[in-house]
Amino acid sequence: MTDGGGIDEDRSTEPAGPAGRSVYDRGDAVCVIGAGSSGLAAVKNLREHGFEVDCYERETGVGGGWDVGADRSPMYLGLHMVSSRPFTQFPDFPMPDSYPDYPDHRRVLAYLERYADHFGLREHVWFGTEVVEVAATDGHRWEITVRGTGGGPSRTLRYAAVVVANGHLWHPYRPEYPGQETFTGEVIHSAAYSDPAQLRGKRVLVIGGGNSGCDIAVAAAQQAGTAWHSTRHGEWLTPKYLLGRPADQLDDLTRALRLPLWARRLGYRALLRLTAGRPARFGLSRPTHRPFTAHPVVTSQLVYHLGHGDVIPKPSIAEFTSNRVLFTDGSDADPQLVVFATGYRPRFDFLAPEHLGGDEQKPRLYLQLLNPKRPTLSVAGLIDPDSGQFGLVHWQTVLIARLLRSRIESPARADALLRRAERDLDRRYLQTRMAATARHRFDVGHHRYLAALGQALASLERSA
Amino acid sequence: MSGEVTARVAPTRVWRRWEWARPVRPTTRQVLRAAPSAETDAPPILFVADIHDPGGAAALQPWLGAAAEAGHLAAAVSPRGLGATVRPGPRFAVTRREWVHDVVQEAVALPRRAILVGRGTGAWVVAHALHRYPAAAAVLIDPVGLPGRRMPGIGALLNRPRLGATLLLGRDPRLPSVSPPLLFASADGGEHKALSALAVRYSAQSEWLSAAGGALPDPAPILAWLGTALPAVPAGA
Repeated sequence: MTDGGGIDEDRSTEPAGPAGRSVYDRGDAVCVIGAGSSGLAAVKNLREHGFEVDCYERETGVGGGWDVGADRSPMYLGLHMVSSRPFTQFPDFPMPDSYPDYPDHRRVLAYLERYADHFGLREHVWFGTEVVEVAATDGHRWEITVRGTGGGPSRTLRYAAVVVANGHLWHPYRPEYPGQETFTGEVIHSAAYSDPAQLRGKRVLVIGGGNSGCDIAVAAAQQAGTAWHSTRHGEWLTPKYLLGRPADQLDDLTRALRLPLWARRLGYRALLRLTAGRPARFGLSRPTHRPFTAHPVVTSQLVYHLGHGDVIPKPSIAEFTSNRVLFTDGSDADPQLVVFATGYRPRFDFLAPEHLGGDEQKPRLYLQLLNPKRPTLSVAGLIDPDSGQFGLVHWQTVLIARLLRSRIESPARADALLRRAERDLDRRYLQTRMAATARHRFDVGHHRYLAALGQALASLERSA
Repeated sequence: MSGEVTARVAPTRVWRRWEWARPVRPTTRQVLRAAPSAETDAPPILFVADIHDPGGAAALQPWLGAAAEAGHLAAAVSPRGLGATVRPGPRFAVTRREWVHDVVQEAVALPRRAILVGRGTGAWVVAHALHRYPAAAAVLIDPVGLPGRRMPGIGALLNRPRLGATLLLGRDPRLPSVSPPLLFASADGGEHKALSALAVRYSAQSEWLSAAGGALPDPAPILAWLGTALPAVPAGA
């Protein structure tokens, strides 16, 4: 199945589609939207639970955003994982021992391709096919309208359930600053940044203190003529290695030893102070939030380049003029290129927001994956964990598959889970109260989140 | 016997704290491979060596040949400390977690979803690895460390005390909730009763193999069972 044109026409049972077109009823099959990391996990786990699966993917290969060649990819050369291998891998398909602690995006893509081949997932994916519309029909079934990315006629199919796995890191978010339209220099979002050569020799301003902002600031320090880095507030810059091991493994060691949060905070502050030192020494502002109240920004190199004077730290932007950028502390800069590393927002073009229980920016979902009023629609991968993503998404998709199976085999148990979902709709799964900005809306702490997922899974498999 | 709901299903363990905090150290493993002469649809097989196999995976060479002849891509692994696989750090401190890691690493290195076949302590490791890797099928031959037969031999216990303690006192592996076809096989004439009990407990099937005095049993019945237990790879599925 390599194109969207071969669907078995014999399945067409009811010719009464919404626009008079024929609707192909796929029976109990499940539709998965997207063949990135979350989509692949969904296909695999649904197959393992006995479902027929059709997965639709815009691109011509698996891997979604991890494929630097994909047109919506947020990747750039030199991107490495910020969480180490044990957190990033799928729990049932570990990364090979030959991989480094922090694999780069090419290795991750190769890993996802191997995952797809090992479990034979490609034959369930319709490549080069995008989903145009997802419409609810009676009895919790869904009508999906798909179309080849290269054009051509659209077709509508009816599925028993839908798993949306279209990713949430492809629709750039760009804040507006006064005077920005008059600025004559080049302005790009980090989504359009793919190669450090784009920065070579230029005067570059990087906006944003998240993981990609710090990565690009480091690239600018190495490549650009002059580099400025503007951040709104101080961050706890965690090095990739602490005490000779990946920092996230060290953090999880303190959790495995069941140290209380205050002790972990104390240890973390002390360790950062002893290694990186005081942020003010490097011209950075002091973090106003306590450790672990926002996801860590993991960079070993930014402090190094600040110390070498290769990056000039700057506060928030006050305004743009035709050729200068003014900062809130009164200083200014004259960049040729401004890179907005200001993150992404989720976007579901094909789905009415009310199906997700809120609006597009603020879906209201149990465990960030399920609207209890629409139990056959789920979203995989709409999370921003404090560790790797794939492991959590694996269990999300196992839960989706088990819930769909339970709806057939033991509806009482599925109903009980949906009642629990109603109750816990607004629960967040964080280790502590988090900074309440839009960036952190999908944050989950992996321990709490997995505990909740595990509970939900157990409620479906109890006394089989 | 398959299909009865006698199997005890283990709850899904999503929290793997020690896996995150102290991942198993990588090592280079001894893996022997055999490929069938023509490409087939049969899933690959990973054989796991027993603690008593001289030379680890090398002792399973006849099985590799037989599996390749039956059309399976076959590999045999020596878990660390056995055969030519080196354990970083002292050999006597090897743990079950490390052995399971070694088996799962080699299973995912195969091109497609694999069948796990273990003998002796290898069978014990396979039983635990089923929680970590969704195998296509599993065959446990003369398992050691499962209820009914725990003792691998006093020498093996003294050589690897941590592993031995887990073998004797560790928790029983229970089936994962989505469990693959499972076969218990024995070449040991006196163990029929214990093995049948195990097969009932895990709602698996059992099979008697012929072997002369501790030699490597003939794998033909196992390969025949795999042919019947695994659904023929349907076109397009």
